[in-house]
Amino acid sequence: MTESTRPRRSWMKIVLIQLVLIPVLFVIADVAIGLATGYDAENTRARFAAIVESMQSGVPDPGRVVATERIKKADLRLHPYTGFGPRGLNESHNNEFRLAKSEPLENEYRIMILGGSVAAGFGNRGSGGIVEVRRVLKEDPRFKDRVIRFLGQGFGSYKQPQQLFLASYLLGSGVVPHAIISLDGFNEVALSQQNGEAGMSPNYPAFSQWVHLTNKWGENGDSMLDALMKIRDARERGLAITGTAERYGLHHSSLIGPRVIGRLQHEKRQFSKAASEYIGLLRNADGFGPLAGPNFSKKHKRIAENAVRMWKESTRALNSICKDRGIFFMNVLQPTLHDEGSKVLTESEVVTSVALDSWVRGAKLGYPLLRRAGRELAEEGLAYFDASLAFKDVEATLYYDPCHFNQLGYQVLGIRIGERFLEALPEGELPK
Amino acid sequence: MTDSPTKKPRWKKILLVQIILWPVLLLLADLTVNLVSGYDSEATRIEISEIIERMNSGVPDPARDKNVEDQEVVDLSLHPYTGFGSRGMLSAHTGEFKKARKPGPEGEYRIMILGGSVAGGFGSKRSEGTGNLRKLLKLDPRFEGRTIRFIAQGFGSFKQPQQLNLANFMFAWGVRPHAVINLDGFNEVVLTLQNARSGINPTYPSFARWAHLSSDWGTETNTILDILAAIREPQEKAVELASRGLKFKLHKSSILGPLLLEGVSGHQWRHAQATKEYTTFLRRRPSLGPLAGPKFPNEDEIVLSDAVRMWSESSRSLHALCEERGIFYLNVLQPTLHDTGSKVPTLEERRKGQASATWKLGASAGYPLLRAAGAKLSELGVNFYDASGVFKEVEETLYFDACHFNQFGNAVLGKAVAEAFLELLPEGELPE
Repeated sequence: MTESTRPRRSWMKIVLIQLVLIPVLFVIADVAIGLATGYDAENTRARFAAIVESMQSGVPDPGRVVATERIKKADLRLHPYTGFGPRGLNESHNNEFRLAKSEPLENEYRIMILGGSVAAGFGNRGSGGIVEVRRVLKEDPRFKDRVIRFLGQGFGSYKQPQQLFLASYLLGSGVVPHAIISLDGFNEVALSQQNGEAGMSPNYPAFSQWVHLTNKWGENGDSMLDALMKIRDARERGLAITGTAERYGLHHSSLIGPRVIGRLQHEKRQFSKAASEYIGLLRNADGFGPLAGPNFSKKHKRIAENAVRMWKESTRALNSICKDRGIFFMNVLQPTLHDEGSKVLTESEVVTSVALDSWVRGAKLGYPLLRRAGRELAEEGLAYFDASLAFKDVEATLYYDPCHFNQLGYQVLGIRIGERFLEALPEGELPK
Repeated sequence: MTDSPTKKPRWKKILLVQIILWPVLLLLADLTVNLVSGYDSEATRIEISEIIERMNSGVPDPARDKNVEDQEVVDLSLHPYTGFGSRGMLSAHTGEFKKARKPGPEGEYRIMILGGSVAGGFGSKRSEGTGNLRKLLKLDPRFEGRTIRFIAQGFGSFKQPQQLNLANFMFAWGVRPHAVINLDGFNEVVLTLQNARSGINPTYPSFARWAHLSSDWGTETNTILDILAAIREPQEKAVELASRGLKFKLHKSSILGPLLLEGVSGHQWRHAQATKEYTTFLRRRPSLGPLAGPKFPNEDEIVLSDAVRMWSESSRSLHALCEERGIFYLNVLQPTLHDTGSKVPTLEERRKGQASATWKLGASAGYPLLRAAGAKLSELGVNFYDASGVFKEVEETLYFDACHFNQFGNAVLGKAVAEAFLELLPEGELPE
């Protein structure tokens, strides 16, 4: 009996030691790796949110890490003057119209930020972008006693002339900013190229949003529903993973955190694959004839030229309507990852840079044309700032996908925009 | 037996006499009625043509000599920047964009006409409005050797900011008119009030068009199909009856002409009732939600004041856009029947110009606001011409419904617009 109990006790001991030792070793390894690699838990947490937010087709929130349950699903709606808008657009405009009707705060200086999702992230409350712009402006004596308020009017997938028509609509409804910054360029060349290659006018709103909203499903209905379900499943799985990671603080672990990112990236790939499938079905759908807009040349180069002309003319138009009302207007050409030579990419940026061929082609063909058109606008006297190379000398990781950047990216851009704003702003007292 | 053979020829005789007598009597009666009542067969033909036109929802043909079956049934489609547009609008744009890629013919002077259906009729090829405008401009030495081409861009139910967005979009495509005439005002106050009463934001496009195109049929497919069939059926029957009647020249007869007119009018009445039913149905649908735009204070006074602000701000923006491009811009406030004191209506105008209480209120309460805002536009340097009183001294019938006028009305307006155009056009040589 005594001989048979001895080995049992020894096994139990070994198991017990293992149970204690493995977690301890794990924690030691975690801390050691964290120290050795300079692991940043907050950055990992931000990346969880960035990946899962990018799957909502909405606007990234780089300023803060939102709780998973608060991440908004960007349900789209038709809009008569911009083609489409997110669900919250009416509420945001209600608010602006109400403020426009009431007495403004004394010494308030209102800056409207226009553009696509990058501009939306830049103009979000809490974004490093506007925090830096405000800080730089406040250093100027003219802004000393002014309360700077940003009117964030950037929306995912917006491209010219949507910014122009949105601003016209807001001005017509009584909203009067002191300045307008249009931060754009990428969607104009990337999404226009995608439009053109899908057979839709490059100057119409983003194909995947416009056709999705206007197309009647018809004979492809079941396949479209399947693709939409796949998109939804990947999105929900992404949300669940992030939710669990948030709840247990998994971002603190240098061993588990990257694994969670890996899982999320896998779901993002599934999401993108299903989204491409859906877009392909939309492209093949019958009957979007008149919804595709006027005829245009389908050659890649001509599509890029067409897109840049629309950007240039719309920017000029925005400048004219602002000038007429004494509103200071500045156009900023945003930096983007696939613009060759604009940044030396980090390993992480290379991994997350995968994009549709048409987007990459659009950026490569379009950015040189945008820069040239921008110079021409500047020669005409328009306040134009080419920020496409703003990240050229930054070695850190800024992009978390082919076009959106993190908090540090917004801060770098915010400082440059603030400085250029002050340089270009006409001398003399600011308008009341 | 002997009686019966004699009876048969008598019946035959009576029948023969009847067959000959009735047409002769009808002809005699026709001639008598014609002589006594001064029956105007041309007026009947025009009235039938007008009814069909109104049922087809198109832009009125000012010449009114198109075959009824040649009249286009306007198929509407969603448009990303103007909310909606006709298929004809899209093909017109493709044509203009193609022309814009090549240098225009030497000596060509291009005038773009913007606005709603009144501007559409005024700007059309067969209109005496543009006919008179061309004739009077050509008397000015500056227009010697210049070929004047009108780019007609007036579309049914358009109201600001649709004109602004349309012009912007066309400029961005490279369309370069030398002058832009924006003939508007009526839709801006009448359709906005109608929008508000239908629960849709006044600054959104015309409710009936926007709600019809943007809302999903969903579970109410059968109800909607029933109503749409009730609209389409009398439309087709009216076209069939009118084209057959006009083909056999029935309108020439003072007896059959009014009967034909009555038949067509009956179909029009049924069409109007079904259209009304559809509008009421759309209004009651709960699903319009976000498509109704931002919230607004639903008080007539505020609605009209907001509508006039949108009109005035959009006109200001159009002026700025044109000025920057060296394009001469003229905003013309169109005359309208229910603008109190603008014309002494004839009996016929009273009969044909019936309108809903909303339309009447929109015109009578909105026009004074438009005139006041127009005067302010002038002070800001915008070329504004108040043509709301041009029909004041005209005793003849000009209006054939609550807002559209006939060829004579277009001619009167064309002359007045030409005089204002020449007076406000900057001195010096015209641009090439």
